[in-house]
Amino acid sequence: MAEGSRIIRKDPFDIFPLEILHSIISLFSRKTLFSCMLVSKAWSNISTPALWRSPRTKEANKWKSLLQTLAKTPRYRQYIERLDFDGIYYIVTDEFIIDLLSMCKELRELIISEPRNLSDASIDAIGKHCYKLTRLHLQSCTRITDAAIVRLVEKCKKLRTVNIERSVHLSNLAVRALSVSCPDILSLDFSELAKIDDSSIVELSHHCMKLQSISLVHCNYISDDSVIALSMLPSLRELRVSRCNQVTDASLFALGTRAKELRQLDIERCDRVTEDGVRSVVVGCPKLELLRINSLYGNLSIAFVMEMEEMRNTLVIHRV
Amino acid sequence: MSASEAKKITLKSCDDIEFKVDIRVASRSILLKNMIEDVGETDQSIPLPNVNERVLKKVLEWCEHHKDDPQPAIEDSDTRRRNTEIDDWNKKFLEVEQDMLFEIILAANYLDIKQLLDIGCKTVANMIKGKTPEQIRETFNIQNDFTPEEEEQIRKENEWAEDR
Repeated sequence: MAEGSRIIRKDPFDIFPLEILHSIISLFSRKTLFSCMLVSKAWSNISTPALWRSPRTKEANKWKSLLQTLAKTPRYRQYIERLDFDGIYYIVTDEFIIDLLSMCKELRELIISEPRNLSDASIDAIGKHCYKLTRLHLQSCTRITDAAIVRLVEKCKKLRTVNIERSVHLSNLAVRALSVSCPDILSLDFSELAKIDDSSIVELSHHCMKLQSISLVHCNYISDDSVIALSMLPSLRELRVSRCNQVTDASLFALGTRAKELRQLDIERCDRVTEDGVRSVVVGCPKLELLRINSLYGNLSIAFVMEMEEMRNTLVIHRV
Repeated sequence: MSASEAKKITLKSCDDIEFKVDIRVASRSILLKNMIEDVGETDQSIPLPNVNERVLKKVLEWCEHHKDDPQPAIEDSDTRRRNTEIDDWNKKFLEVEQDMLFEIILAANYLDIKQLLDIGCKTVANMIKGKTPEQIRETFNIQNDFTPEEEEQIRKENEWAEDR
């Protein structure tokens, strides 16, 4: 039978409801979305927002062309919800960010990592234009200051996830401003901020009752006071305090007593922690799934770790 | 009614063909699962006004093969994104004519069988991925309704996305 002659070919856009078309389109790369835009008007209508939702290219001259399009054809601006510059730090300059963000009023997520030269001027542009932002990563932004963060959080009150790890000038001032302006925050990463101490984290734990995840890796001034305060948060699921030398068993006793929702705990290189403390967490936190510890340097023996794993067979213990 | 009979229900396609199936098989469909839970055991056949015999047979074949699968975990959108791999059994199962594939997808959507809907969408996605606009039009017999000027404008405005 000549099958080719009776194959019925139909346009998926005539047949499928919108939600199925969205599922199909969500599987496409930008290059494929670009092709889809040129197929027909129906295809263009649905692939254009998908392509512009999170625009990205590795090439500086293509970003230039993208900026030109946004300037000339404002209808594309409404689609931009996410900008991710992770891995393309060389694109990011103040001039570029200020220009781009002035056209991104609908932005929800902004990820900037290791820019060479980003200053407070860019942070002010975020606050000026992107007040719908819910996720902000400013990793290793080594020039930005507390003052800029204070101004930013006054405008961006919808922030739920903030990562300012290794932005080394930021201190307690930034943490306090965040906790006062954004009490609904869910996730924070303050890793390697050497200037922050217990005072701001204790305050934070009084303001941000919905907090689910916080990372304080290698914050040298963080001690038991912070962890004890954080342990009282009803929704705390993830806590990272690895390389915080001042954290002791007192922290773990507090977590074991109160942190019933805790899923993940990282206490790698907390050298003052002992088996008693770890046992208290393993026994006391029924939902704990992942525990990162170090067995080589600390006081935790292999036999003890095996005993803990046996006691809770759904628990994964990473020995670093 | 014996115990083994009690575990079956009857489904009726829109062209009035009845299928007697294991409740466990039918329960791959969340729509049917909820219906069975609400109604309880029944001798009455369940009419499926949106699915014909040909498609229902195929969908039930899928449900039979997957009846012992665990319910799918909720994947976060990032892992789902771009992942268009399909295992061999499902790939072979969906090597059907285009109109049949589309009808299976619509039936999976109507019956709320998430995994079947997912692999169906992935299969359609794989028919589109990496193709030029002209090749896509050919695949689905689509009329280009752009003027050359409109096409040129879209190309120009989106040239930043062309190579990635």
